[in-house]
Amino acid sequence: MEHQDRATTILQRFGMTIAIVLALATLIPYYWMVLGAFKTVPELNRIPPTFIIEQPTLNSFYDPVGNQPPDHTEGLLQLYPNTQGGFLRYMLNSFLVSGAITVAGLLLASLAAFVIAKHDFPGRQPIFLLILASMMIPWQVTIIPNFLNVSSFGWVDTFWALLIPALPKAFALFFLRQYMLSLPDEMLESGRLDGAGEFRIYWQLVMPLIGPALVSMSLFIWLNEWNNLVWPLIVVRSEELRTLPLIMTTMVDPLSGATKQGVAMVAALLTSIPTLVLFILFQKQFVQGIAVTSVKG
Amino acid sequence: MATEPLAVPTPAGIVGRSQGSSLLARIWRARISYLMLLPFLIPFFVFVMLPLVQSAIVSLYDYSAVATDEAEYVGFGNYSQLLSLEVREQPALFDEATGERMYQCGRRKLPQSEVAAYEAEEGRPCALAFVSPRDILSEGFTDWETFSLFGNQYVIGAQDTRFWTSLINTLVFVFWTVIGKLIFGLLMALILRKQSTVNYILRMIFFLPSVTASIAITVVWGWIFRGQSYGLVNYALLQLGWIAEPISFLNDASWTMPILVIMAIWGGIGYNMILFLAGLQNINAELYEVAAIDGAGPWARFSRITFPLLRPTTIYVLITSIIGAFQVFEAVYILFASSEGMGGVLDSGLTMVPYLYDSGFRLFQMGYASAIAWILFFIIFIFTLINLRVGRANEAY
Repeated sequence: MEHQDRATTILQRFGMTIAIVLALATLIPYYWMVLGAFKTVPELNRIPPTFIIEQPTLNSFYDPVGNQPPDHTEGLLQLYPNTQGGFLRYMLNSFLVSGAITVAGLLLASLAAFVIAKHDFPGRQPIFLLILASMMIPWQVTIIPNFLNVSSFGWVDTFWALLIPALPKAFALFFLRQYMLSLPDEMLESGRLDGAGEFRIYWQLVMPLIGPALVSMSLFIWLNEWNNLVWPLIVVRSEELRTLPLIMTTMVDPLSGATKQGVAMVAALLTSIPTLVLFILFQKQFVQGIAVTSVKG
Repeated sequence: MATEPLAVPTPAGIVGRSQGSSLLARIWRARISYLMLLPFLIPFFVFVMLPLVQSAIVSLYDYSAVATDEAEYVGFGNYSQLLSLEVREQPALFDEATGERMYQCGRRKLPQSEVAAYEAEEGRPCALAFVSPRDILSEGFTDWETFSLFGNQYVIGAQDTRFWTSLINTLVFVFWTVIGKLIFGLLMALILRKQSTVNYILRMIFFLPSVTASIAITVVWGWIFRGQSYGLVNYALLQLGWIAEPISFLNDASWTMPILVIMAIWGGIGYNMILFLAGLQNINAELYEVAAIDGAGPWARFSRITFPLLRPTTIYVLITSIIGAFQVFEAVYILFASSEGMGGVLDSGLTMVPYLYDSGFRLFQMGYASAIAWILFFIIFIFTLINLRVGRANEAY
């Protein structure tokens, strides 16, 4: 008995060591990003690289000296003179697009989920099965016709091209329906007896009760849209409409030196900060969202 | 499905006409329901179901978005062009006059008798020469790979060698990332299983990559893998003395796949760990107490209790990881795409989705790209079916 307990303890210590080493390794890219974002150009180019910043600077955000090689290059906020607002405009675009898709997508999905979970009508089962089956279709299959259709609507290079095709979220509908099934029918019935219409029942009775599910889903959708590269790559042409992922594609330039990498790290930092803030605020919901979807999915 | 009592069909004799049970009447009574479904269903049909049908149709056409002429119906031509392979034995080359075996020496082909002189002079070895693949492969095929078997050399020809390259690259990527994410995810879940502050912090650290904008972190990886001595990885390897010169990671075909795999594993451990932790939570703690009384050691407890009971979770993690890995795109595009193609140096990072993008949106071969999409769908679909089948089997427990 005692021998085995010692074996367990040793195993636990060993495991803990591995976990801590791996956790530190996991943090390396974050550390290197923050470091790079606040280094001066000469320090970025230095060999060997510095692991603690000698001269912290905000030059990679905004360099008052401007583009004067070898020691100065334009900061991220100076980089896009043709766009009003520059990089901040792209950030705003990303916020608007991801936010609009999340809110509108969840409204449509929750309304439909409510009907499918709580109403009885001819065709309910086939419609639900069709939506369920559509979750198996990878987006790659529909992307080419979607592009052709959006072109024929004349939406290419407009906000609508980014927003409308992204609205039907079958997964959200499925997830919210599962959640709504557990709401007692008696409660809805009492609402109906009080004379509330179906839309009011959805909005005033059901929606407040599925809050946690809505939070999990909105985090999930928002993060996916914030990261979405392919679709903007296809439908965005003009500079004003670019979103952050499109900017990211211009940042890795393996042939250029280290000089512009400070700016790249600032761009990465500003792109990841909103997602990190959300994570810190909603850790539990993020984790639960994943665990719950896996158990039910 | 406890909430479906209303869906039970009522016997027609009892309810009768007075309740209006004809289909049309029931549809009319449910008009509010349909009205409330429409805001979802309209975009759902326009942007999911309709494109699905269109995609299947387009994949049967030679349809170029830039060509002025009409799309041409080719049936399964796109698919056969993508999937056609042929294997031919590649005969050795002999000198026509003397019948001597020929050797490839640099750019020249020399008979056996002159090889020794050439090697001595040039200091470079010669290799056996074979008949050019062009002369043995059917029309429209180009050589993709060669291999030797039982002393014979064979050449594999494909109509679209880039597709096969992308397929193999994808399979390699899927294999290593899925294994890495599975093993590390499970390991971390087992180690950090107990509730404690330290474990909680470590879990959140591992989970961080799953919630950080992955596009941003890909850019950071590009900086970490810089090809000069100020690149972090190069610096570390030089410091350790494992390399003498900095490696040009992002421009070296042999490093493309390892970098993609490392990034994917780094980004996926935490997600799988959370899934495994959820699975571990469902295991009854009493089982371990009983096992401890029986004198079971750590390994016995893992192999007899934890692992068998984690089987459903493991399979779910496995399948979703596989499906996700097949769809890799962003990392390839951000790190390796250039004006010459999506897949980096020598197409070393060309996986299926970047190839689809390349065909559809760089070369504007919409029909061809749709066919690639359907092949990808087919592969993913098989794994989805396995997942559903296994999921149902687990419910039966």
